[in-house]
Amino acid sequence: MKISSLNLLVKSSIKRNVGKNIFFLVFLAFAVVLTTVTVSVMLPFCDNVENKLNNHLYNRMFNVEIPSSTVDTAIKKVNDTHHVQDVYTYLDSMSVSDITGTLESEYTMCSLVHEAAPLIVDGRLFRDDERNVAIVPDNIRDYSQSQRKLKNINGSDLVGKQLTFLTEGDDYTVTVVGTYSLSDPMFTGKQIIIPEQEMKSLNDKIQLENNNSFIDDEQYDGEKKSIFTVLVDNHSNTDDVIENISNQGIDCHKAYKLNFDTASYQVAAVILMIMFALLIVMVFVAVSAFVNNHIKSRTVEIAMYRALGYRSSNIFIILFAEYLVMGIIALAFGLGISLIVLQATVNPYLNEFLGQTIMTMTASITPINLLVMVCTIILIELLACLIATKKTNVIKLMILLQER
Amino acid sequence: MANNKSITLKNITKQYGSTVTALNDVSFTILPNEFKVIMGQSGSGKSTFLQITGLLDSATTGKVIINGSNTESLSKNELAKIRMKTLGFVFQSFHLNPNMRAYENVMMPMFINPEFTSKSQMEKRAKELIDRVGLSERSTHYPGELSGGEQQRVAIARSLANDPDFILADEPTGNLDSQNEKSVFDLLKQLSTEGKGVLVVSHNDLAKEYADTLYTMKDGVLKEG
Repeated sequence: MKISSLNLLVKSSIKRNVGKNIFFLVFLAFAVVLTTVTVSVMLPFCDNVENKLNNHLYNRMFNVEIPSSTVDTAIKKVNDTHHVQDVYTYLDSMSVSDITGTLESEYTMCSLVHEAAPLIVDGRLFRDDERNVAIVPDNIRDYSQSQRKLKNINGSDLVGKQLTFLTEGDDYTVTVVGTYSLSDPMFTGKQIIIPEQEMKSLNDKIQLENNNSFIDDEQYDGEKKSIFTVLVDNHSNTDDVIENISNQGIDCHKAYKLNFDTASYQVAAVILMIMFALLIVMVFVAVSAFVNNHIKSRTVEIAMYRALGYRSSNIFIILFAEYLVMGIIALAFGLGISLIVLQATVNPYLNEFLGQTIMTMTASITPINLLVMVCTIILIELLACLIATKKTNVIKLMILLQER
Repeated sequence: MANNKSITLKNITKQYGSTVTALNDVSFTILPNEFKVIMGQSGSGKSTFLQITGLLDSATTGKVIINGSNTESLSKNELAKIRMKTLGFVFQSFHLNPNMRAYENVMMPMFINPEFTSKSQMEKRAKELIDRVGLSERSTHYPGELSGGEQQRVAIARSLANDPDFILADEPTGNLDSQNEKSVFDLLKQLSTEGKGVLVVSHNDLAKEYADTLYTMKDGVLKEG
């Protein structure tokens, strides 16, 4: 059947059933809004769960201990291992106490692991080449020994202030330039983070003073060992990489552990996916019911097509084209409404709920969402029209001979 | 498929359930150029006869042979093809699409005929047929803007769209006034003289005047005369 012929048939049919078609369009547009909003939230949420939680830096990092005499060859072996992305000297953190009186608990001074990108809540992140700067948690729970009381300190109140820490007998003063969100599970809430170079200098200084391996050397079986951090390209490869490196006689330690319960987010992602699947099933059932009801009211028209020699495939094409046209119109309206709903209600809610967390996300209509919606509508209408066409096979053509 | 153009019904019986026999051992043949009329009371089996002849329903027993093909063994698609190419239907209620213009209604059977390769070809043929039934001035009108007689003429033009060998008409004048009755029968008669086999099922006594052969249907039994 030619497109021009189909166009004529579809137009006449849509005109013939205006009331029902408008009802169908409204229903379909509503279904598009529900489905689009669900997909717009589900896709970035699942993406967050996979990339920010499952594939978190801490799930793809581990340390290796290498005897000082074989560092070069061992590092080469580690670097050459498949899926290894980066190998760098491990910098140990150190326990510090503020002597200005602003903070009373004991804190941990450390640098950021490679590729870490803390969510800055206030102020800014330091540059790599800056000195005597730090970022602190956005919410600090500080225990006052003197008052025997836990205080909540807003990290933002410390921005611009100086803190002086006592580190192994030496003073070290930093200016707080920003606060970071504790939503990232790599942070404990007690970390004062300084630039990596600064951390190295501090460690070197202490090492020199103590003439001891404070940062990267340990006494082990009479031989010094250096510690390095290995970063793997994907969390799913971490265990394999550890096994491969261990098999080469290098000691591996999975020193990093996510300080986070990811299960609730995983469950939420699964619930969202189930909701989407249920929604699709419900829309399919409703579309099928509508198409079948519509077919019942068009028995004479369809019997006439059959009397004129139209095959089931021709009738399927006519039905599918009609519903596809309505589907496209509903999609256009539905997407427009979805955009408004996302901007007006969903995104403000997401921002309030997840805005300052590692799971921060924005629901939007991306090309993937659009593709999912178009495929879903086409698939649902295809199935509904196939079922309806099958039902038209039982229409008795004798109704054409009955006087109306 | 043999080349002999005819519709032959051999010993057709149609039963509904185990008690109602709508057609009882009916045999019948129609050839091109013939104008045959079947008359009978309501419930006599006329419509059942027409729907079996037009492959709109199947017989309980017996054979329907169209242009040499025993339709009993044909698939649904093959039956659809015969309805498209060989048979043209005219119904009492016209069954025109109210949202298509007259000439577009005539084009409907052409949409699925692969012999028509372009819309302009279909429009040309439709307008020729509209002219032929005397409605050239009304070709762009919608059915709702046409009288009953005009609508039936459009339906006759539509039945001729794919140049079928036979026209099957069910009470074609049932919804028409006496003036239009005559013009419709005139038109059908003209078609039979031009080579179509025309089978009319009707209550209308006027049909007798046009019939080459008149049949009477009573209690599912078909009798000539």
